[in-house]
Amino acid sequence: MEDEKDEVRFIPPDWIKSPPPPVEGGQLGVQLILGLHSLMRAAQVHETDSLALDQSIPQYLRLINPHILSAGGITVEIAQEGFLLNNRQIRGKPGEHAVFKSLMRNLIGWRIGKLQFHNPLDEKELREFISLLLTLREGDENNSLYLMKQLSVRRIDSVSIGKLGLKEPSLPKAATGKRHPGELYFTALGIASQIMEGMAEGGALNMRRAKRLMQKMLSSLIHDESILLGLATIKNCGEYLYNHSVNVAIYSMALGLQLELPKTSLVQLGIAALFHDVGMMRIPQSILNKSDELTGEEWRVIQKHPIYSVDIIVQGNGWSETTARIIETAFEHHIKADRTGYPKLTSQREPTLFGRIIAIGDFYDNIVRSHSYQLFPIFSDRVIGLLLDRGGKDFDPTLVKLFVKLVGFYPIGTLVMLVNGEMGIVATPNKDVEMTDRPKVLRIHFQDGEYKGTGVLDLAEKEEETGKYKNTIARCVDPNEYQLNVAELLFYG
Amino acid sequence: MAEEREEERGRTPGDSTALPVEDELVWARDLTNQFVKTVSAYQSRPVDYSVLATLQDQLMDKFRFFLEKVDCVTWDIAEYEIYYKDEIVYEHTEAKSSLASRFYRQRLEQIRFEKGLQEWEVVDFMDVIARADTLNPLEDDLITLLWEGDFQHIHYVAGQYHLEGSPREFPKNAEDFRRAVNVEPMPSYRRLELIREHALDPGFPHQQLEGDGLEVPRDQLRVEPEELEAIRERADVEIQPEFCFHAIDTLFDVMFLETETKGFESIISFLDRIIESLLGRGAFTHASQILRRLYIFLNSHDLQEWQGDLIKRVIIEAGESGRIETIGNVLKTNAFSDIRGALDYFLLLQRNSIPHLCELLGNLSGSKPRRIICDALSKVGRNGIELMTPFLRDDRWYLVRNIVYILGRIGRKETIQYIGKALRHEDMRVRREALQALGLIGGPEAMQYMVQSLDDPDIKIRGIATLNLGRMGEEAVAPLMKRMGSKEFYKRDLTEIKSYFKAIGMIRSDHPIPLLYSLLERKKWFGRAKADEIRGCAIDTLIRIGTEEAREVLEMGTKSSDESLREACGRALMQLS
Repeated sequence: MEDEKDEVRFIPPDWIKSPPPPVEGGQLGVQLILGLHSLMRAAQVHETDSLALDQSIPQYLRLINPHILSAGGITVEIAQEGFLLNNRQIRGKPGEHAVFKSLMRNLIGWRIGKLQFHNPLDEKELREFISLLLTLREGDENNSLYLMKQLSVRRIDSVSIGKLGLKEPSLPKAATGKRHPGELYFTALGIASQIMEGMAEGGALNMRRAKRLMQKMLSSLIHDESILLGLATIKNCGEYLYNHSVNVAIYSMALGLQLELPKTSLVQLGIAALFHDVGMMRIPQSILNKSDELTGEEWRVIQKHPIYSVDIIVQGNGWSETTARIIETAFEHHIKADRTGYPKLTSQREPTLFGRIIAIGDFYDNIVRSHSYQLFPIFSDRVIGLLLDRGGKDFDPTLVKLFVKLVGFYPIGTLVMLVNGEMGIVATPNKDVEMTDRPKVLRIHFQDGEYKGTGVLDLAEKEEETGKYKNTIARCVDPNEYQLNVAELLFYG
Repeated sequence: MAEEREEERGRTPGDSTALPVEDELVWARDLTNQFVKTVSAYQSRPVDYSVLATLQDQLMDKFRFFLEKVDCVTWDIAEYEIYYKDEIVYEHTEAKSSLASRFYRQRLEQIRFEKGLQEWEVVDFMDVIARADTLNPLEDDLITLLWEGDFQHIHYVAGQYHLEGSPREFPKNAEDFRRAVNVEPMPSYRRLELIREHALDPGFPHQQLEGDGLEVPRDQLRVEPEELEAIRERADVEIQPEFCFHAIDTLFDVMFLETETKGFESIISFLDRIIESLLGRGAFTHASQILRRLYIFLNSHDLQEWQGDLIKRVIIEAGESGRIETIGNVLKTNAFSDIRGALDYFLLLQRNSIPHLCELLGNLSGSKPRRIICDALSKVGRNGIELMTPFLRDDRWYLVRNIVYILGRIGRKETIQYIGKALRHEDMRVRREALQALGLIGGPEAMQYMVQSLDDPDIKIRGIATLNLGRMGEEAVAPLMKRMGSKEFYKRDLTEIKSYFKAIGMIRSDHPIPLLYSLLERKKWFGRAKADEIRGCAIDTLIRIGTEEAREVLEMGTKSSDESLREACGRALMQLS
């Protein structure tokens, strides 16, 4: 049988003897689509064994078989951007677009997303394959399975079919699920690293990409700020700089929202915050990674990073409102409210509002991080105390208060011991200043060798009979004592 | 509210019930065509506002009618088509002019208009589409603008390719998360920063985070209304685009602090690009402010030679042809240009700008911009007269006239020879300007040229030359008198003759008095009618001269046998007394 099959699959000698002129990859894809569409149209009108196909079938084979041989196979796929041929987009000319669309509609209707030609076909195989395609019912999810089975029955193993799947086309009715904020957060980490690395190598800031990212993050903050603020409790994901930059962008935009800044300004603020420390990429690793105390000279090098930031930003970038905001804030985020700090200004001017906002986000994200011997970041009321203490000296006092209102007296991620001895993690701050010590907490229990979340407790709730609060925070707890990463529990329970 | 690829697509809430399917499609096509037409009218230049208003009204009517029937209209965007419920309602295969193609290229996949759609939303939406073609593609696209649009009844779905390709993936579970998270503490310099810059206890972090809970009085947390008001007021100021210009202060700070060559070069180069960008936007005042600050920086800091050279290079570049052309384009197209700012900018340029400014002067048609270029060249051109003089040979008479005017205002003696040549220009307006210029410069050399103009073919020019000579003083008397002493002179037009008398009078010299006396009595040279005029001119001139000698001549006139002369001289003497 195998021999017979081999005989059947013998390639007609005409194209071997006189192969057609080579068709470029892009052209091949177009001709492949046009040819397939033409075969299907002809087969719809005539029978597949009719004379009408006698010319077009060998013609099509002459087109595809050499390429199947030379490329080791051909895969035509439906993807977001249209048809792909061996993972490369097939771009038709305007006049060909209707044909592309028509074929795509057919394939989508049949729920077929992929056609693979593994080996050269003969006329009979191609006729049968076309004929089978035309028997499919629209909208039937089992079409690809059915087709594969039918091909197998006919011993046609040169072709295989893939179900319309992951790569959804950009035609109507392509539905995708809502992006999880966590996904967005991690995407932001990746994009921040890509953009900043590109900038450090002298490339221009991909402002459009940064803007789209910040627009997405702002939309998420507007929808529910506590989710992204919660995600900013992740303090050790990937390289410090990118993680820090994304967190500061979140804090800054959230604080800007408190000021009711317009959306466009908030996005600019977010972008400025994202790149406020980009100059750190010029600081030698030997200094950045040094675990001992820095020497005076090394500290002076660190203090140059705002200037380096400006250097990096101006390289290859044009003048725009957003560039200007980034320049200002990158330069002045270490200049304090009392105008001390670094770098030194040549004129007596106040840091900008954006600079002052970012300075708070920068400080907060640093102070709650794990330091020296710690493994996990510590959030606590003490951190807020430090922030309040520096208000008026290092930071704008009103902005500090607004920030505390935003993150809460017990900020999201604070590990707390309740008066009843239970432990919990602050999940949502209470925005009421009078109730700021009564956030919502995720109760946690030690179970099966690990801590697990067991539901959210609103500490503002009172008992109906007594009017007393059901529970109260007794104290903050260092998560390092319990080897507990609060971010993990907040997101994975 | 606009969304990106996050909504369930293709659903049309409240699917049409009131319209038969065929009618619905007809209406959808009609609405889409109306939309395309209106967008096109919105983008045409110049905008025909009456046509646009009509189209907008029609579009809104169609939206209202249709949305009343179907609750929402969803367009699915393909490369060259727009679909409504899987049917093509718009098709145009010319990529440049196809609205579908423009949307498609920007990865806009779906647009949905919902019931309640407001007119401002439609207008803003069209504005976004129009702006998307002209914005800075490095910074914005149609999607970023749509997001900023804050539409309530227009939703969109866009591809998120900007967010694709991130090397980070969201950990699907706690285990993945643990793997993704480092457990290394943060760099020590950050701790040092907190201690040094924020006065934290050197024992930070453990000392700061230990101990009992913190007691913070609630009033320390409360944001008072006046505090909020103050910071929001500040925010209102700072979010204005204009405020961004303060970033220039930062750049000059960085220049001051920068010790590395590459860094300094980067800033200088950026300032150069900012100037270019500002000029392109017509923000001439801002561009001139940067130039001015560069001059100040150059002169007030102890710079190394290479630093000074870099700054000078930017200043030179500011006057190169590309920059001047950019300004010219703005001045040509925008009637409300920052003219004053342009002058400020021009005045800060170096001599390399002179030929480019002259060229621009020849290319501009507006009188205001031309005037400010003349003003600028009158100052900047002092250092490069030789760069302006080639333009005196230009074919454009108005440019030659302007250059002559500028040379006159510069007032240097060395320009006289060039202006003198302009006295032979075929266009009378140029010759007139040249005479004025020579008059401003003055001196014997200028006078020589003016004397030549006394024989100009144009009477007006001759008149101006005469009067200009009159302003030049004593030296001009001789050439004037030479002509006035000939009989032929009095065959000229009376206006011209009068201008000679006027000029003589302006000089107030005694030298012409004998000639004037002779003219009082002489009648043969002129006809009778003209004789009275000439006599009157001579008497007026004597009055103007007003010296003792002139008075004596007039007194002699009072003794003339000619009654009319006696009377005229008598009146003149009364005037003098």
